Amino acid sequence: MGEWRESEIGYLEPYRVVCELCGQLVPGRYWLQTAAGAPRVFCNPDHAAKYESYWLPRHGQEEALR
Amino acid sequence: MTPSRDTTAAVGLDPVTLTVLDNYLTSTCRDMGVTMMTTAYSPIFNESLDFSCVIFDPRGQMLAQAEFCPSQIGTIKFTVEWTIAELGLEAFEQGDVVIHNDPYRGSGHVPEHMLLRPVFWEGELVAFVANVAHMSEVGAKTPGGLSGDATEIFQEGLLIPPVKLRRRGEDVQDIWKMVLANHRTPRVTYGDFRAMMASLELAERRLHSLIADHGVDTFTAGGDELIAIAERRMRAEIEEIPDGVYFFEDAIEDDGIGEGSFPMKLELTIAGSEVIADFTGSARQAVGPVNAIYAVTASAIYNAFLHLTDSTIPRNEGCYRPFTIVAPRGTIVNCEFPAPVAGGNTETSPRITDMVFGALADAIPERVVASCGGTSSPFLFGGRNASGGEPYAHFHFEGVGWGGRHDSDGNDMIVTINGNCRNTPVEVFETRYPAFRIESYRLTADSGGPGTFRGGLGGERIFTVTVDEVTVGALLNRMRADPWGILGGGAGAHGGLWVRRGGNGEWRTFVEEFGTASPSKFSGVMLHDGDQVKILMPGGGGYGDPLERDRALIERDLHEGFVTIEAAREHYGYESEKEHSDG
Repeated sequence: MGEWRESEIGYLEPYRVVCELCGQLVPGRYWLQTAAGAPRVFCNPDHAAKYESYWLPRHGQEEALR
Repeated sequence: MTPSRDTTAAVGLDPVTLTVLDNYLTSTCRDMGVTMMTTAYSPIFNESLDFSCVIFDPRGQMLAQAEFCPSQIGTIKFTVEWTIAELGLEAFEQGDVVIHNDPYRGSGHVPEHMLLRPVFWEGELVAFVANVAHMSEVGAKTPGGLSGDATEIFQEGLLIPPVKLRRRGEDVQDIWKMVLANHRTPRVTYGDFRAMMASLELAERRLHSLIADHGVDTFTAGGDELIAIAERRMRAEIEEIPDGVYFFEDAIEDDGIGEGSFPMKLELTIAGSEVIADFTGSARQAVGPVNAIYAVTASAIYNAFLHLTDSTIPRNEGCYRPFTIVAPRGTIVNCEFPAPVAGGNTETSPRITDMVFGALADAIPERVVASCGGTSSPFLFGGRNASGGEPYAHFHFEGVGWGGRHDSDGNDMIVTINGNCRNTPVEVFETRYPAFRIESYRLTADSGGPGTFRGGLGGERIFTVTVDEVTVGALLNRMRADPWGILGGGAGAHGGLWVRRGGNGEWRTFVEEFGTASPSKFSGVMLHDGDQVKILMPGGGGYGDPLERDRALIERDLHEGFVTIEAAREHYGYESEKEHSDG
């Protein structure tokens, strides 16, 4: 399970809230969910689901070896 | 004011009403564009039409667009989403206009400025109308922006986060002053911004008229229904593509700074009605300005599928929902701040779109096209007019050959697939920018890749400088790598860029003449009276085996001068009637 969170878009430093699946900067509201043993930021619950159904099987092992 | 209406409420909309609504919104977008075209100051608006006009609902969902610039239309979805997230819906008031061009906040690249106006009905926020347009001068390190050798975004012009250019119907003078003080041609910027604002005012009036006639419930529920229809239809189209994982790889040949190319890898998964476009494994972001930000990469994918699918699907938010774009941070397809990004939107974007066609060539051969010339051919220049010292600056772009397709040759010299813009007529160009005279402008024989259906032709233009001095820059690609063919078709010809000092002697590259790092990506080169520049625009790739080309088409090409007899013999095995009878 996850939850919606809000992040403030300030102007003193670059905004760095990034979706773990797609790589997009997520403006303002983001979805926080534990995946692969760690809390991770996503654009929305659909991207969290695709992280587990697509990204981990496709790239998870390569990433772990890095 | 936050919208309180239940926009999903069923109000019993019939297909006729929905069609009327969709066409009304689309034609409103078109009329917004006409307003900009006819009232702006710069030829990039009046002639080139480098702008787009779009309508959104209060949640930032795109309701309608028209036949504008595909890269802008896909990107503005992110720009508007960011604007609403950063400002909050509560910040919008009747008569506001927000301006925004920051690529690290969802814009495409620095020259593209978005103006957004909230539309209220009886005190309730019911829509946003927006346009995005390429300003010809943005205060970059070189006139005309698009600095071919920029190494950070701060060299690409003034960054404007979402701020109000107009508040409750009154200009915010501080913002106007700040922006115009940073542009080399403030008078032109002023006129173009006014044209964009007029376009938004027209759209607001049109929406008010629509709501007055049909009611706000029809408008809001109809918008939701049109989005749902578009999503269903797009998903149905995707389901017709065979499920599978498809690959394609291409590269940006240089970044204007160093040696070496930048590979882009696409793994395209089609699974039922879903598409995942995964760029994992693509090159790290470049030092120079060929990086695409996420919104540009996503927009290029949308553009490809809008070309591949039924053109009658309502063009709105629903079209984009089936797509997931995976673009790792720090790569050439999703760079990190403060990497420069100007060419990501002009050069990298069309290559990404073409990569989708390349990946799906075997799966849906009747729908894809071979590679287009793949460069916007940006040639930038600026200076001061001799009479009166009025500053000028311009982003000049060119057409390219488009790829051959299953039933016809590629288009000749059409602006690359991300642009859908027009070229600037020679007469207008010379009138508005007397720094140059156009010596010649023509199609280039044999530049279209051979094929059953050959690639479209590229072209050549020669400029002569007619003033004491003018500063020029460039940001062209496909100067070394040929546009690829598909399904047995051959590659189109690559482009080129040369200079001839004083109009005499040999054509030389800018590397040879001025020591630039790249032959086609540089800025701040000073040319003088009599100097000449030659731009060669790439052709498109061919489709299918050239030996299967219809003899009548070969002879038409020979008659028109599109293909030389030597190329016809070499690529098509052509023999004239006499050769045939002698042989």
